[in-house]
Order: sequence, then structure tokens, then C-alpha cells
Amino acid sequence: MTLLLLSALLATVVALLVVRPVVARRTAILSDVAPGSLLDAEARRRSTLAALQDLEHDYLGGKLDTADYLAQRDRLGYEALAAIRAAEAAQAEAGVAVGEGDGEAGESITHACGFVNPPASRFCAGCGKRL
Amino acid sequence: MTQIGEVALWLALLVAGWGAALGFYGGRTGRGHLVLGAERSVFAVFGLLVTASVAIIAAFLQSDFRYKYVAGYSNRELGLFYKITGLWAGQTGSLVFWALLLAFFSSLVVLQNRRRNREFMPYVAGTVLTVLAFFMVVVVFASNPFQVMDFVPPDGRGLNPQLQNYWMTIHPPTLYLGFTCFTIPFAFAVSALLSGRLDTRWITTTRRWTLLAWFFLTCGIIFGMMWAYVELGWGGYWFWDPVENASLLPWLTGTAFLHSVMIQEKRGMLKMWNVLLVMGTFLLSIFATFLTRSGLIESVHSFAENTTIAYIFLGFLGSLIVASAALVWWRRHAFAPENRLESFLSREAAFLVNNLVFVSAMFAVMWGTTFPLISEGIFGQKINVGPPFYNRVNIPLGLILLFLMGVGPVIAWRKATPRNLKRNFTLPLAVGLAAAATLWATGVTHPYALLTFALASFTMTTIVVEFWKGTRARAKIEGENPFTALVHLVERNRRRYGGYVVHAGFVICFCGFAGKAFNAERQVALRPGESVSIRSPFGHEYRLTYQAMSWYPAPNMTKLVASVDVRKDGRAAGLMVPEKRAYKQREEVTSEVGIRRAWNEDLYLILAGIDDADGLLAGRNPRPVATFKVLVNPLVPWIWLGGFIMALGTLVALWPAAEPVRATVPVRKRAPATEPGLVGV
Repeated sequence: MTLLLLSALLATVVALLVVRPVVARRTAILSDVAPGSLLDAEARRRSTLAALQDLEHDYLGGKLDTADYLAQRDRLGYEALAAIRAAEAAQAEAGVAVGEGDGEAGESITHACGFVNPPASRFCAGCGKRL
Repeated sequence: MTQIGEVALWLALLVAGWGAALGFYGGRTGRGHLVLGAERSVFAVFGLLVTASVAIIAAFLQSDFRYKYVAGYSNRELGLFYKITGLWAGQTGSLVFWALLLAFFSSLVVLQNRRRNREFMPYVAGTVLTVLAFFMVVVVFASNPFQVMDFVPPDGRGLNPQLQNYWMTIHPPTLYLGFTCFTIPFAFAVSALLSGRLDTRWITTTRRWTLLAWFFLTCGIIFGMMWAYVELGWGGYWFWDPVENASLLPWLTGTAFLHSVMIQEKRGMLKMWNVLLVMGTFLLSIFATFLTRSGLIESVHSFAENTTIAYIFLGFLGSLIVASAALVWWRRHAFAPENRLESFLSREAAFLVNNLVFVSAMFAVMWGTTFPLISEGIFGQKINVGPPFYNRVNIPLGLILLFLMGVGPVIAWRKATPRNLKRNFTLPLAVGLAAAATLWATGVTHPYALLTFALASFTMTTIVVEFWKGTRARAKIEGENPFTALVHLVERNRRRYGGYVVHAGFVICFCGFAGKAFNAERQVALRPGESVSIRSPFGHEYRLTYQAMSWYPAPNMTKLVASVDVRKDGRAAGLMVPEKRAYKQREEVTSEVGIRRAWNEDLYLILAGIDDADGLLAGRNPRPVATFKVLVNPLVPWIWLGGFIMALGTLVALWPAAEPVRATVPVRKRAPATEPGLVGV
């Protein structure tokens, strides 16, 4: 008898948990606060910048000749810039404030060399100098 | 009242099926209430499996021998720890345990992603609940831990003596944590394929879960080796046993993924390959569980007793393979690479070769493991493949990996010029060659061992140089002292330097494996008072004197203990007490080895036999002749040290980076590296 009661209790609790949201039409969030295209662009921006960071790291570690480094840096710099612009365009399109969740990072930093660096950068992605 | 556990299992089956349907349908139709139902189902299944597991443990603690499972794996005298570990001692309970751990990780992933990755989550919930539903089907219909016997025996059959070891509380849970955790990356791969979002995002989420799974699996494998070393009593740690191989298979593909994912992140290449690796790793985890629990392949870890579930597992595995392949085929156009391989002298190429080696090793191990089944199907006879096959294939592959571990960190992305290579390889190559020459001069001529030590020196040098260069650059740029610079360097580049630490651990492990080439071994029959000497490859002379044999009853067993005095190079080095244990319930006799550990070698003593054990127990012969097997296992401690370092490195790579400081802090004081600072040194 106790087993029966306990089983019924367990089944009721479980049913309340898993059936009730469906019956009561309580809804889960289906998409992120930002649209998928923006998140993808952000992820791409981060990974491109990380690749640039690795390039800098390799150069500082003496794994690249200066000529190689400069050639690769230019190409990767353009990719990073394109990724940043894509992310910003997606942000603008989505009506999300630039840099939300990222502090006041709205201001890109343009270095003397002309490279537009993402907010909060300490070094220029274009020439490697301290900002 | 333990029957409530069975009710919980039935409810878990129903809820998992319900939730899986809600997840997939809710995701497809975009109905939030169905998705919420699916996510709640994940929590409900976890709660129900906790209830079922507690009920099983309670049945063990109460020695409730009505249940076939409890009677089969426990007895009244069994210690408390082993009664609790009864949950995963046999096939039936371990399947519940597998499901419990998966439900735990699933709940964690739902909690973690309640506000992000929302497009993925319906399918993630659907996928994990499908896997859970499968396990519930197996447990409820084919391997029920609450199956009641027709009669209640006065005592249980007892736990397999080889499982009565403290590693029992550590190794299986760790290994299972690894196996089950690989389900989460698989679920994200399925969700990325179903939602069509195959960009970088799913891979960044998946990478951390894969790393966590890899951490547990690596620890599980190392713990298993330690257990085998102290418990199985043959002097080794790895026997290429099917169950050992089973744990290695997902490890190999998981490791390949952790490397190839970097190529996708950095270069937008190998997208389909990464999906296939994630899926393959999960499928291999299921395959490993199937191998361990089906009983189709004979193993020293004979935990399985019900081959019916083998066919259910095969059916599930087959369905998963077909469904995964269909999904990948459906989205095949989304995998176009963004870049091409520009040079074979690049990190991408090194990673590519690394992946090929890992996958080749996986196929070789799988071929050897399944060969008994294949040979039985074709020739009608089970032909087992022994260690020589595995060693012949895997040692060269391992050496290639060891070499690539040295090349990978040194070589640059995209393209490295011969001049760079010369500059970066000169020192490591010189160190490798010098190590080889020194070892050759000191008499080390075993080709594989010599090559291993040379490559290990080469690779370790590249790792040390990487740390040195990074520290020096950071100290110069930031004006920090070398120690602070090193700490900050690792802190700001956890993934990179954590990876190097893992590599260093791996190198040390490899040296430990190579030590096997110099094992010394003797087997002798001694009377009390007689001695045997053995010389270690490090030049030490061990002299072991058999002093006496004693016996005494212990809980659940009778112990026969030999006392052996050890002298190393003429100096007293303690007493070793190898044992024979006669277990009451299973009437089995096992060996407990004596191990004297040093930093560079183990003196390993097995009590192989007692001439007149009955006479000893009856008091007629207090001084029986005993047969001892004495081994000196060089560098084995390095394997455990290397394993520890690998685990440590994984934790460094896994540890979350500090969150960026928010708007109230001025720009120049913000932490630079979490949002990729452009120079991360």
C-alpha cells in the first residue's frame, strides 16, 4: 500500500514537472537574445582575432620570418576587420547596442598605422605596437 | 520499499521518450512550451535515476537478496564501500549508473544553456533524452536490477574478488564520466546539423565539453592502468584486453577532435571531419559500453553475463550510425572549407597528420578487438589477437605522434619557411640527438626505446623552449619578473599552455612505456630463509629473502601472507608482503602483489604459488615452499607522473578565463585576454 502511494506521488510530481508546461503553454526561450547571424558573426570575430593573436605569438616566439609575418598579418588583419564589420553590421541590423555585454566597448581604436582595432585592445592588430 | 526504484526506472523510460519527442518536435515547429517540456524532462529523468540508484544502493546495504542483482554481486560480509559500489559492479547496475551520469551531464547542459544556444537546445534535449530512453529500454526490459528471484538465498554470491579493491570506487565512475560526457558534444553536433547552424559557434561550445570528457576518460584510463598494475598481478598495466581497448577507442578520436577543432576555429577548414569525429567519438563510447557489457568478447574484465542486450546495443548503434550519416549527408553542402591547406610545412598539416595517425590507431585497435567476432563469423572459430599485433602497429604510430608533438608547437600556422624551421628545430634536434648518443654510449641499444627517448627529448625541448620564449617575451613587454611573467603567460593563454603541459605529461608517459623494454624478471621457488637476487637496468642489485609465511582470517576472505626482506645494493630496504587471498563466497584465490616504489623503477613481487597451502592452514607445515615472481619495472612511476601532469594540463586548458570587467572600469584597466587581446603574451 505504501509502495502504491509512493509510486502515485512520484508519478504525480513527475507529471506536474514534464506535462504541465505543455498543458499550461508555458514557453521556453527559443532563440538567443541576439539573433543567430549576430552570434555567428561574433564567434567568427573572436576566432579570427584569436588567430591573429596566435600569429603575433608565433612571431614573438621567433617562429616566423618578418616577411612571412607581415604578409600573413595583412591577410589575417583584413579577415579580422571583415569579421568585425560583419559582427557590427549584424549588431546594427539587430538593433542591439554595440558592445552590449562587453562593457563600454563601443569605441573602436584606430591606431596611427591606420588599422581599426576592436574595443579594449591593448596592442594594434595591424602593427603590433602598444595602443 | 526499494521497489520504488523499479517504479522510478519505468517512469524514467516514459519521461525520456516523452521528452525526446517534445524536444525534436518542439525544435522543428518552434513551439516553446514543447521545448520547455523537453528540458524539464531532462531534470525529471535525472531525479528518477537518482531515486533508482539510491534504491539499488539501499538494497545492497540491506543485503536484500530477493534481487538477483544484489545476490549476484554482494554477500553479508562484504565491506560497506563495496556494497555502495555494487551500483556499478555488474552489467545491470552499471547501465543504470551510465544513464545516471548522462542524466547528470544533460541536466547540467540544460541549466548552463537556459539563456544561450537556444536554437540548439531543443535538439540537444531531444538527443540526450533519446540516448537515455534507449538505456532505459535496456534496463527495464533486458537487464532489470530489480528482478526478483523465486527464492531468497541465505547469502549472496559476493563481489568479483578483482573488484574488491579501492580503485573500484574511483576507476569505473571516472571512466563512465568520460564515456557519458561525450554524449553532450554529440548532441550539439546533431543540433547543429538539424538547425543548420554549422558555423563556429557550436564548435566553441562543444570544445569545452569534449575537453571535460577527455579529462575524465584520460583519468579513467590511467586509473584503470593503476588498478590493473596492483590488482591483476601479472606485472603489467596494459594488456590490450578488449575492455581496455574499448576505453581507448573514443579517447583516440576524442584527442584527434581536440586538435582538428583548432583548424576549424583558426582556418575554417575540416568542418565535416570535425562533425564526423564528434559523432564517431560518441558512437565509440556506446561501442565501448557495448563491448564491456555485452559479453560477446571474452575479457579479463568479465563483468557481463547477459548477451541478449548485445543485440539491442547493436541495433541502437546501427540506428545511430545510419541517422548520423544521413544527417551529415543532408547538410553536406554546409561544410565548404573557408581556406585551403597552403603548405605541408604548417601547423595545419602537422595536425592533419596527427589526426590521420590517431584515426589509424583507432582502426587498428578496433580491428584487433573485434577480430574474434569477425573470425567467428567467417571461420566459425574465435581467434584472439594478442599484444604483439597491437604493439607492432601502435608503437610506430605512437612514435610518429611523439614526433608531431614536438613539431606542432614549433611550426607556424599557414606556412613555415625552411629558414624558420632551421631556427626553431636546431636546438630540439640537437638535444634529441645528444640524448640518443648518450644513451647509446651507456649501452641502451633497444631501437624503439632509443627512438622513444630521443624523440621525447626533442619534444620536451620544444615545449620548454615554448615556455621560455613566451615568458621572456612577456617579461620584456610587461616588465615583469620571470616567475610572474610565466604565471601571467599561462593565465592569459590557458588553452595553449595547458595543451603544452598535456603534451609534456604525454612525453613522460611515453618514456614510462619505453621502460618496459628493460624489464628484469625472475621466477624462483624458495624455502624460508632462502634468497633471490635481481639486477635492475639502473644497476641496482636487489636481494630478496623469503622469511616466513603466515595466514589469518579477514572479513570475507582468508589471507596468506609471505614476508620478504628486501636489500638494495646491500642496504636494508624494507619488507614486502605479497599475498594470496582466498575469498569465501566465490571460492576464488587471487594474488595481491607487493610493490616497492622508487622514482625510477618498481620492484614488483608476486606470490605465484604456495607448495602446501592446506598444510599451512591446518598447522602441519608452517614453513611451506613458495614460488615468487620478481620483476623490476623501470620507469613505471613515470607513467603515473605523466598521467597526473596530463590531467593537470587539461584542467589548466579547461579552467574558464576571467570574465571581462564591465563598463564601470576604464578601458585601459580592463582584462585584455578574454576578449582576444591582440597580443596575448
